[in-house]
Amino acid sequence: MGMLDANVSAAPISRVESQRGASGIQPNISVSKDYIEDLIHNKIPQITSSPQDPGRFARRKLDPASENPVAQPQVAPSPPRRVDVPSQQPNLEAAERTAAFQPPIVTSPKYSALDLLLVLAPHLADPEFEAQVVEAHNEQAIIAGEGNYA
Amino acid sequence: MPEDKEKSALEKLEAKLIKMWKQSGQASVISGRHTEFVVEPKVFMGDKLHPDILKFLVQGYLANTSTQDSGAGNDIEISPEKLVIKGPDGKKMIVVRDKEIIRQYIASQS
Repeated sequence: MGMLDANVSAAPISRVESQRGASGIQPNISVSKDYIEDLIHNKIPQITSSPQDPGRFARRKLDPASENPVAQPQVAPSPPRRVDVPSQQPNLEAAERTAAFQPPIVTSPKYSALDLLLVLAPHLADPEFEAQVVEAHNEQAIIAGEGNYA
Repeated sequence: MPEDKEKSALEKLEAKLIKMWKQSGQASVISGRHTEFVVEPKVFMGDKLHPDILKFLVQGYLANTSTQDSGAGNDIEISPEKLVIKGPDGKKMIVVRDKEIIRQYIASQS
């Protein structure tokens, strides 16, 4: 069993530690206890943005007495709005429209088209038309009779 | 075949009705640049007559008949609201509510 000459040596793994972690840089800020007490009790003015000049900061001193700086206007409740509803009057226009929708000529469902033509044709002063109506009616009757036997 | 015979009879009757309806001047004509279209109603709508055809026939019936014809079996009842044409069995066959038709019939009878 031969030996392999390996000239490869494992390089030591360098450990990269984050400089941003908590273990890295210690904050160079020291705040006294009195400052925090004053900040809690609003004794120190805070820096806020001015709406008139948004690019700059303006100092605004909070009034510790007013818990609600934006006062809501007191508005008296308005009485309920009264809407006058017209009294119920017979809608004549709607009735006329309903009457207009009725067909001007209505036939009884008992009579077919040929039945009506048989009654109307003799009074139309057209013998040819009357003969055609009678012929069509007779043929319809014959067809109906054959249908009954089938 | 009887069926063809029936069709031909109805077709002849339908053609006759359309011809009469056109002659009455009630046909609708659509005029184009180079042609005209005459709108024809479908005469038979199932077992019923087209309302325009029925109106045309009723107008012709009332124009050619009179109350004296009621003895033939067809009776006409008239009121300001409606005109009733009764069938041979005396039952209501046609009810007319067209004010113009009623007015014309009353005027022709007076």
